[in-house]
Amino acid sequence: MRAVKRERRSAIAAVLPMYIFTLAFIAGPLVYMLAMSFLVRDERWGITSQMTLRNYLHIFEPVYLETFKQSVRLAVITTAFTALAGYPAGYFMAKLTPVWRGRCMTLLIIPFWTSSLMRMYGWIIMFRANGSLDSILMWLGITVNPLKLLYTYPAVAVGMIYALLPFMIYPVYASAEKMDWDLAEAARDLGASRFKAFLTVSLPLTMPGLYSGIVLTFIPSMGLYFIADILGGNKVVLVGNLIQEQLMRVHDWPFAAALSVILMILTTLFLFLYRKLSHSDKLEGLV
Amino acid sequence: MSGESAKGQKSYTNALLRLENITKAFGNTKVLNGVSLTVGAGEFLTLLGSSGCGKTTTLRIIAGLERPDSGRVFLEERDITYSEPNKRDVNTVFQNYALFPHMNVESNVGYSLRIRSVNKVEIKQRVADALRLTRMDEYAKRMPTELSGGQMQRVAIARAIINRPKLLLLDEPLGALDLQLRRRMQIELKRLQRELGIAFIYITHDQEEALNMSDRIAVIRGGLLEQTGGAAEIYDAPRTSYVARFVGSANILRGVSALSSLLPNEIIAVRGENIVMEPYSEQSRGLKGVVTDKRFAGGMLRISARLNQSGAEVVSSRHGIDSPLTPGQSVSVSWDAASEIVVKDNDTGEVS
Repeated sequence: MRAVKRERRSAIAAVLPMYIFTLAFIAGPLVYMLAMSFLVRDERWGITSQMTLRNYLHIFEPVYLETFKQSVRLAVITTAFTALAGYPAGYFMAKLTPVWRGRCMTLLIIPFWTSSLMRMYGWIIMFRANGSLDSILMWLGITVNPLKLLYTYPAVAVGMIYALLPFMIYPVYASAEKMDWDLAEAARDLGASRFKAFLTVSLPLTMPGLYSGIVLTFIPSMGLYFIADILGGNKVVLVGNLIQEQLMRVHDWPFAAALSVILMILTTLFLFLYRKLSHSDKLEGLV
Repeated sequence: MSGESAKGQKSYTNALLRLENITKAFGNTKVLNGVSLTVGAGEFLTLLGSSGCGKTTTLRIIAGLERPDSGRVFLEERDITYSEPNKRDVNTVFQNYALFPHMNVESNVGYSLRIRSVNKVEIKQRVADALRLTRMDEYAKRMPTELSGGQMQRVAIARAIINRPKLLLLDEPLGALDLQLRRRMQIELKRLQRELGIAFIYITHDQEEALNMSDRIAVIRGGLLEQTGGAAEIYDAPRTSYVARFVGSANILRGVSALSSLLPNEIIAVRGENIVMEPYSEQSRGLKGVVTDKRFAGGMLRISARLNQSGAEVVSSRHGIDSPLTPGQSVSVSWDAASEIVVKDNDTGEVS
């Protein structure tokens, strides 16, 4: 009995730092933010101790609702395209020989040696009127006039997809690499065409990777604001931009907090829904 | 045409599967060097060989999971060398079972029927039948992770036979099971094969398993078939020293004057049960040697001796469970002419 007690005590000691860290740096700020979202702002700077629901009611004004709608739309589009491009990339990367896997991995990691801000400025050169993209398209005779892609919604979407693609490829690759490829062969042996074997065996078994990828791209795509800033100018305003603006320029902390709370709830809700709708049990029924 | 009749088992007039001069290399490693083989409908053929001899590659080529570099594969005289695995009337029981981890037993077994869009009522019926045949009916709703090795094996077999293929390929299916379970599964597989009338190609490196189960054994070595024949034939009349040693654990007596007359590349093999070992005395007629080891194996004593003349190691297994011989003792080793098997000497002495 004493040994058990001692063991338990040392187990508690081992996880305690993690609990303290989580409480101090994750739970604490969240509670602080939640509390702040119900307070009234001070006229000049900071907050008062007065409680209100006005911050939340504020969000239902058409301007802000529109911002949320645009954010969700962009996040869904970004996530869908990253999944469409990133899933096959990760999946086929796992099928390569170890040498080529290593090379692909290196190619994926190299961009991270430069700040993502710098890389976004790179896209400005691509997208601006008479920039690289226009030059190529006009030289090829595909377009006649400059497209003026910079500061448009598609430019922001491309930037988002570009920035988030690795976060889709990695988890898909990880789960595809872990998969027992004998299972795909067994499916073929049992009469499944390549496509059906993929649909009924490989896809469900790499679903956890796709799900992690979607979590890792959807959450940031709801909040990333610097891409919209750089490639969208002030034409594309996302919830992230709105929060930043309220916090840094308008100094309405409670409203920024309320926006953040709603953003968080919305993100969680979407991921929850996605998980419910794409359960691998259901995928099995695709046969 | 179908191999459904159980009694047609012993006559293989119509070849079900024919391999013609199959070769295959992976990079610079040649795995198969021209394998030709015929399997009759309803036949139980075992591919016997040590690891790396090419038996799994042969199986994968038959299943369509690998393409040969040259040679042809015929199933009922139709060339299927390059047809897709899903277009062949052949199913495989994989070495590691390869059960789909995201499906329960029932869904695993019914997989090939669902793929072919068979109606639900029929699927249910046939899954129940297959599970009953493999004695897994009580486990229909279990997930593969909730099964033991022997149970997974049964599910893998049920899944492979549900479509009644003409040919079932089994890649060391019992390799991961303990001895007792392996023996029981051997009997059950044999029963299943008789009941279904499906031809089996069975891979193993266990000569006892091969001798117990097969109608015919093909001993494969270094990507070539060394000898093909009935179990009794392979055991009693091995053609090469490798087969004699690998299948019958026979003593290859190198550098020993034989009683039979030999051609230059021939050598004699004598099975352990025919080797007589007696305490040495001046009157002994046999070859002089020293006992090096004495141990129980499979319910009887195996006594090893080194011959003084040639230094060759000889094993005798005719001592029952009791023998006065002890290690270090001088013995006289002898055998009679009738027990000498003349074989072609092709043994490089590799460990099997």
